[in-house]
Amino acid sequence: MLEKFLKYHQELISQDFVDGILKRIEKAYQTRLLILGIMSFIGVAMAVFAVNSLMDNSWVLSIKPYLLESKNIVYLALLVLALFLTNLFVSDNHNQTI
Amino acid sequence: MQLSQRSDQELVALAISSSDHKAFTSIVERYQSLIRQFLRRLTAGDTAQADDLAQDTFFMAYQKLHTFKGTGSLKSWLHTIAYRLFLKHIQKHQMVELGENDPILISEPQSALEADLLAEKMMQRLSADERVVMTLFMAAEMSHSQIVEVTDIPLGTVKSHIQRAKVKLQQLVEKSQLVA
Repeated sequence: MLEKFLKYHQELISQDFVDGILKRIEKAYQTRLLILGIMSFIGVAMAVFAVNSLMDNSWVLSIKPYLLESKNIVYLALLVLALFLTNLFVSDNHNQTI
Repeated sequence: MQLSQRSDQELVALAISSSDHKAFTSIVERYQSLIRQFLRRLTAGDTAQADDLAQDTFFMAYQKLHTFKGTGSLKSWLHTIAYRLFLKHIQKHQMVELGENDPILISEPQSALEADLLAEKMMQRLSADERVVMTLFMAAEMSHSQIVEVTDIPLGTVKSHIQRAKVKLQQLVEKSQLVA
């Protein structure tokens, strides 16, 4: 008696449901690519800046007077951006950990 | 060989190794009905919430597909994810639950849709654990050991939940027949 009531009676098949999941997968993939791209850019930029700072005739020396004033702000902004992107990446992973 | 004819293990392997989503789409198509129905029963008929959780289930399955070891079945693994998402959901949101004396009108369903709606309504009488074991046992046709695998609830507790849920639902059906 209960078996008759409780068994699944319908076949729930919907292409919209499948498409919705595929869209989410694609969006998550694009977000990860974006984060990876920005982080790579920051990493490369910092590396170039660090290497140039060590050279005597570096272009960094010519912009150093301007840079010193805003240096801390730039570092802070980069740090905040990196933390934000890391947080985004980690929370994306955390949501998957059930 | 068409994707729809391949085994679960083959589809998982293909979904992990290939860059397109065709194999994973096949997995979703194969299990969407089971998982959506399962979550409709757990949410006792909140179809919108059930479908959201079902989407989350497949999305998470895609993200974690590489961790699927293949020791159990894909069906059990997907049900495990769905069940855990449901538990997480009810930690934040009130679950629809009816008291023993709250009436539910049970009449002979005229269609498959009505029959499912009635089953979902009957679930409102059960606790979350009773809903999950009862649905896995009666609707998803899982064995006790498979239910243990999905829910992590000890075997003895699974059996007692099923027994208690059967009594509750039997009383509900009998009461409604008396009313009728």
